[in-house]
This record gives sequence, structure tokens and C-alpha cells, in this order.
Amino acid sequence: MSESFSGKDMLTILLIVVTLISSAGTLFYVTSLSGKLMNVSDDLEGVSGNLQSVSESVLTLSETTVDIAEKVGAPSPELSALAERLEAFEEAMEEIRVEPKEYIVFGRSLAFTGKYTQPALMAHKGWELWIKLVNENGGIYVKEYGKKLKVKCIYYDDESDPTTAAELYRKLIEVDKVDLLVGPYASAVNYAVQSIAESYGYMLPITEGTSTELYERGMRYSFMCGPGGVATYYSYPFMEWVGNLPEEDRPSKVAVLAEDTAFPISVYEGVIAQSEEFGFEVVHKELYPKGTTDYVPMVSAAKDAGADLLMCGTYFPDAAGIVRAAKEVDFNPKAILCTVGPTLPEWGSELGADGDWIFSSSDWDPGAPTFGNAEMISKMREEYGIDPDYHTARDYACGQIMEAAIMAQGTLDNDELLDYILQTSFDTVIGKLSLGDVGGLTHIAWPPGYVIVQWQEGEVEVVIPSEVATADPAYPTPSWDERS
Amino acid sequence: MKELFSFVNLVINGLMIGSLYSVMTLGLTLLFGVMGVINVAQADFIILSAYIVYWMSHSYGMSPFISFIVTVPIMFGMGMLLEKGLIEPLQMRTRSHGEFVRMTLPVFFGVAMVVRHSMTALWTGDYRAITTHLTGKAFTSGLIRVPILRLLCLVGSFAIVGLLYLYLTKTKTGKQIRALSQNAVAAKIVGINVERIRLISFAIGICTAGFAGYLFSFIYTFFPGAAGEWVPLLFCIMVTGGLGCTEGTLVIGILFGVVDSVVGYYVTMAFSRVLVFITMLLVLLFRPRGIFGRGL
Repeated sequence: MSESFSGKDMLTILLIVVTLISSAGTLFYVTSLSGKLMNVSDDLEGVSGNLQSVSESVLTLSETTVDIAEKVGAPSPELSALAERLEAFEEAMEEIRVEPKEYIVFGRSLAFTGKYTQPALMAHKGWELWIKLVNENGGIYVKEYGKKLKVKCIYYDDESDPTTAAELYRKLIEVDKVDLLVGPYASAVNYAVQSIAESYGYMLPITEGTSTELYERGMRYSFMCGPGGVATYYSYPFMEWVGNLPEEDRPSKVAVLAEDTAFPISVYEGVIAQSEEFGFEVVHKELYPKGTTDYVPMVSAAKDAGADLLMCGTYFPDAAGIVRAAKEVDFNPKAILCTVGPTLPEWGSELGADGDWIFSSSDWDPGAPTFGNAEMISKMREEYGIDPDYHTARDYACGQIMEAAIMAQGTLDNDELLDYILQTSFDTVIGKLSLGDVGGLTHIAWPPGYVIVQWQEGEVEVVIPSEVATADPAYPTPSWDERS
Repeated sequence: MKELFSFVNLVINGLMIGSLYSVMTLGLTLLFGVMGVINVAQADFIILSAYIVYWMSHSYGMSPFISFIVTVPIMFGMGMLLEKGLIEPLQMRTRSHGEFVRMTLPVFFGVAMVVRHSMTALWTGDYRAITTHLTGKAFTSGLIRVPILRLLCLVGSFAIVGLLYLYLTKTKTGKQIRALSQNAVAAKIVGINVERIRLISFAIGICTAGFAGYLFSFIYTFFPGAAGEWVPLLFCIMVTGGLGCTEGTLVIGILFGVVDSVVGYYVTMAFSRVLVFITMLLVLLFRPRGIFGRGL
């Protein structure tokens, strides 16, 4: 600015400050208003309760009137007119009688659009599958209501965006008045929703959020519900396995790449900590922005740094981009591990042979005889024509936990259910899940349980640990030249 | 020595990525330059074209390499529909050219949302990719690596830009389009059928998305919402190059591709993007009409 600070500039700044202050003030006022509105809606509930008792009295009154009329003999015209009017009044009252409770209403937002759509949709199917099965059995018996209640869920699209999700959960609580919440997809989105659930006193079962960030906040109402452990553990079984290989087979230099959002950052931190534990040197590490489209530069850098192990904290588009970039620059580490992407069915169908030999991490083992596992797999094939993945399994497990907790406590009260869940271990499709407070993290699944999978010639095999493996790990993985 | 080859590879890679960036932005620039339309939905049409390539390949077995013969006409048709259905009514309802330009922003934002959500509804949010026998393969000569598909993008980009240049300078309709973009009133006076030329130029702008989407589908995985990741970069390229200035788009697109590649390697991708947007800001501060722009 070449001119000096004029009075006009002062005025503009003053105007901006005044606008900011008044907006802040309005915001405060509106939030207090919404508090008052909540009271009003509570009063309205009381009023409708009163209306119900009034209609009941009217019913008895009309019955009594008819009795009297009969006893008296031929009813006088005035009396029969009165009886008619009372009947009409009673019919009108029927209309506004309060509906008895039929459903347990869950509320959640999911990424139906945006970057996280595909895994979110797999999670959605898992949740819907559980709801279907529960309703086929007539619902869940809730002692508080003395009968079986069916389950339904209200969904909104959060577009893979944390801020949108937060607003949607506020709506679910205040407008839709759901009984219970379920968390959205992705750690970053759960992070935004946690505070909403916490301030309203609703428990937030987090089915698709394993970042340590979520569990460092000491939130009372948030807990892991379905996943097998925090994201830092995704890579552990693999790192442990390569760490214990004989000297000549072990890698020595690790490259770590991860998206710069909550979940991949946790994976990244886990890999770095485990590299130190097992004696690997981290020669290249990079956190890339969520909207990155080109992975060739960072993979080139990893290659030129001499890495012989590539570990990636990814979702699908970035995992695919990284693997393709590795092929383009002819990067041939002894192994590549990417989270999430390679656990989705389209890894094989979209990438073809390029997707082979990539490792990934899952907390769900399709072959394990865990509680309800076979039923879930067959029901999934029947309903959707595809096999479940670990996202589906996690949300299904959450349903199993909810069902067990509601039946045990006999109520839909958030606090009572929360206390029960925190102290109990549950049998689920993921295995035995129990929660604990470990290492500064609260309400995480402990002990953690992850298996390592690998794509081998178009099929996903469980490779580590050997007790549950369906195939041996193919290591070191063939080079790009060898594959063609 | 190895360092030098790395650097050369990076620059070559950058040129190829950048050429794709340029082609993707080209439609945006044309539409703004010729018609004053701020087409926020350009990236969505690119993704839509990529989906067309995908379905042509998966449902009809058409080789992806020739599918531009399908995407370009479909996008051309879509462009004509949009022009008749949206642009003309908008022209009639707005009282000045400035107002028209401003209104195209929310209107095309709406178009983008419709396209994006239609794609989700039709084809689900599943991730898609085109994998061919050429995916990942490269020409190698010593330490120099040139990925074949990216080279295809480079060649394709130059081809389409060359074709467009020839069309705009050598054909009668092309010259009319340029005349219209220079001065609408004068164009009318010399007897140019403004409605027809507008229709054709808009359709051409959208059908460049058809070609860009075809090239795009070989390199990147996509899903219905993928356009959201591209819009900021495309606008950045157009604005830095000069609103409505095609030479600017070409040069800046390639430049940003090289920056992404080189800076992405030596520093990080995040920093490369920061650099790109800071460049845009600096250009806007000191030369608001863009590096090659001739003024709004």
C-alpha cells in the first residue's frame, strides 16, 4: 500500500471489528436460544402426555354417558346429542394420541460421496446387514419398554468432510432426536463429531476410526466399537515378522508415505516407532496432502534414497497411485504395504496384476470361526453379491455389541449402556473385543488384533500370523520386470 | 551423474504431467475467454469422460486407446445442450455482461454438483481405474525413463492444442469464434451469427473436457467426487496464466507440472502445492491479468 493509512481505512477496520463482535454476540444469543428451544420442546412433550390422559378421560366419560343413556331407557335427544359429540371428540383425540415406541432409532452420517466413499459404503453394508438380521428376528428385547423393538437408522451424507459431519450429527440429535449414535467413516471425520456427541451426552461408538488422535482426548462418551485396535498397530505384525527374518532376507531401509490426515498419520507414527524397535533405518518419510494426485515424485525420492521396504498409510486412490508410480519408476523394494486400499475388492478388479503381491492390514479374518462370522459372510453374499471386507465386519461387530449391551441393560439410556460396554468383553465377528485405557489412550480395543494380508494372483490371502494364515507370505516380492 | 539423470527424469515427468494439466484447463480458459463463462464444472466433465472411457471398455470391450472418438462427441453434445438450456436463458435474464459472468459461477457450481451426484447415484462411489498392458511401462535409455502412457498424454495434449490452434486460426468458424471473443458488438455488426457461434464455442469448450478425460483416465484412478481435488489447481493455472488466455494456460500448466514433479521430489508434494498457490497470489498482486493476460 503506497498511500498512508487514511481515515477511510480506519473506518473499514472498525466496521470489520464491529461486525465480528456482533456476529460473535449473535452466535452466543442463538446458542442460548437453542437451549431455551430444547426446554420448550420438553414442555411440548409434557403437553402431549397430558393430552393423552385427557383423551383417556374423555373415552371413559363417553362410555359412562352411553351406559347412563341405556339405563335411563330411550335417551333424551339432548343426551344422545351429547353422546354423539363425545364420540366425535374421542375420535379426534385418537389422531393426536402419542405413538407407542416401535423402533430403536440410530443416527449416523457416512461418506456417501467424496474421497472415502468406497470404504464407507462397505461399512454401511455391514451395519445394514446387522439391522436386517436383527429385524428378521423381531428386533431387540428392551426391558424398559417391555417388548421387542425393531431397529432403524437415519443416514446423512457427510461428503467425507469433518465439518459437514459435525453439523449433521447436531441435526440427528436435536431435530431427528435419535436414541443412539454411530460414528462416521474416517478418523478425521470422527474427530469433529466427538465433541458434538460429548456435549450432548450421547455415546459415540467409533466403528471406522482408529487414529490415536481420537483416543488421546479423554472423551468419556467416545469408544472404539468394532475395530481391533488403534492405527499404530496396523503395521505391527508385519514389521515384527520382517524384523525377525534372517539377516540376509531382512530389509534395512524403510520409506514411509502417508496422507496428512488423522488415520494415516497414526499408521505413519506406528511404522516409524516400529522401525526403531526392529532396527530399520527410515531413509525417506513424507506426509502428503489429502488432494494429492501425483505420486511419482515421492516414490522416486523413496527409490533414490535406497529404500528396500515401502510402508504407506493410505486409503484407496493414493495406494493405487503409489503402486502404479512404483511400477512407472521401476521401484522394487522387498515389500510394499499399503493400508485400506488393498483390502477393498476393487483393488484386484481395477488394478489387475499390478495389484498383486502388495501387503495390507486387516482386523478381520474371513476364515476365523468367530461369533456370527459365517452368517455375516453368507448373508452379505446373498444380499449384495460380494464378500465383506474389514469395514463391513467392524460395523457388523458394532451392531453385535449394541445388541448385547441393550439386552443386558434393558434400556436405551446412553450412560447406562456406556458403563456396561466399557467393562464387558464381547464376542463378535472380529473376535473377542474388550476396551481398555492404555498408554494415555482411553476406550481403545485392547489387546489389539491385526492380521496381515497379501494379494496373490488376484486373491487375498491371510499371510501373518502363521496360525491363521491361508498362504505363505510371498517375500521378497517379484520385481516389476519379473512379473511381465 | 546419477543425480543429473534423476533431475532429467523429473523434468521430463513434469513436462508430461504439466501437459495434461494444460489440456484439462484448456476448456476452462476457452470458455472464459470466448464467452465469459466461469465453468466450475470442467473437472466434473473430465471425470465424466473418464467414466465413459471406463464403461466403453468394461461393457462394450472398446479399447480405451480409441475411446476419445466416443467421449469427444458425447461432450460436444452435452455442451450444446447446456448452452441451449442454461447459457441462453442466463443471457436473457442478466442485464449486463458483467452480471452474466458473475452468475455463471453459482450456475456452474450447481451443474458440477448435479454431475457429481448423478455419477454417484448411477455408478456408486467405487474407485475406478483403467489398466492396460501399457500401464506402468516405460521407454528406457540408460538411466532415462519415459513412461509410455504419460508420453501418450504429452503427444495427445500437443495434438489437441495444435488442432484447436489450426481450427481457430484457419477455419472460417474458428475466426468467427475469435472475433466474438474480441468484441461481441462488432462481431454482430460484421454479420456473424452470434447465437450459432456461441453454441459452437461452448460445445468446443466442453468437448476439450472429453479429450482431457480420455487422457486422464489412463493415469489416475477416479471416483465421482474426484473433481473436487482438481478444481483448485485448474483455476490456479488459468488465473496465473491469464483469464481466458490460452497461451498462458499452456505455459503455466506445463510449468506447474514441472514444479510439482521437481519440488515434489526434492522437498514434498505439500510444499510444491504451496509454491504453486503462492505463485498465483504473487502474480495476482503484481500482474492481476495473469502472466500472459491481455486484461479482463
